[in-house]
Amino acid sequence: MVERDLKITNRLGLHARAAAKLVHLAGGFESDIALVKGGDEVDAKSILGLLQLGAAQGTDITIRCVGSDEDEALSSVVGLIEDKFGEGT
Amino acid sequence: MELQALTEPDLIFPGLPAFDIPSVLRAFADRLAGADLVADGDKLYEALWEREQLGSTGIGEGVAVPHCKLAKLKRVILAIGHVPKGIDFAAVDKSPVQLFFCVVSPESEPAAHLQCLQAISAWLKQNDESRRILEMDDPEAIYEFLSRG
Repeated sequence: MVERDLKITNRLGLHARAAAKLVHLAGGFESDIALVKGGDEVDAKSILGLLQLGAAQGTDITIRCVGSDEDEALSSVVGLIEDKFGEGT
Repeated sequence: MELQALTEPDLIFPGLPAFDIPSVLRAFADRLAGADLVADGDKLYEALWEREQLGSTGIGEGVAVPHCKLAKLKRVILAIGHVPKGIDFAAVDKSPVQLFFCVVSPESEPAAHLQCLQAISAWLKQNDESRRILEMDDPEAIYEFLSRG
């Protein structure tokens, strides 16, 4: 298992389109990928799950990956979030 | 936040007369404009349509959350509608969509928008019987049902 703490930094937070991008990316990996906020852990391959976090700008989250490609999965997901989901702001 | 607190019976539209993506969006836009909640129904329709062009808001399991942001809005508006026979909404799982949560948010309040999406997804996740809503054709009954879960 690998995990990383980081902050949601894009202005709109983890909104529906950002969640869809994350689900699309996560679906390309065999590993289980979870986002954790406080005590809530959700599947990063489910839009419904991700929206349940209500993660606005500035929210601290943990990304947790378990599986054969966990390192690559973690760095890809971290990359997307740090890139502000490609939204620029 | 509880889902029921975000809407009201007047914003619940069972059996929308819709058969495709544009007609669903148009039905919501016309009804919200008719209820004087937005000033311009055409503008709302266009904003909802433009958002769908960026990627379907069909989030899977027969549910879609068509949404957009408008500048001169005082608060988040949540309208709920269903089309029990289902519509091809280009959803992420390619399943037909029966249940629609239409969210119109003030441009200046991204966090309130997220809270609304959070309430919708939490209600769907926690309520094993959420699909029973499709059998209901009374807005008041649906409104009461939203307090479950």
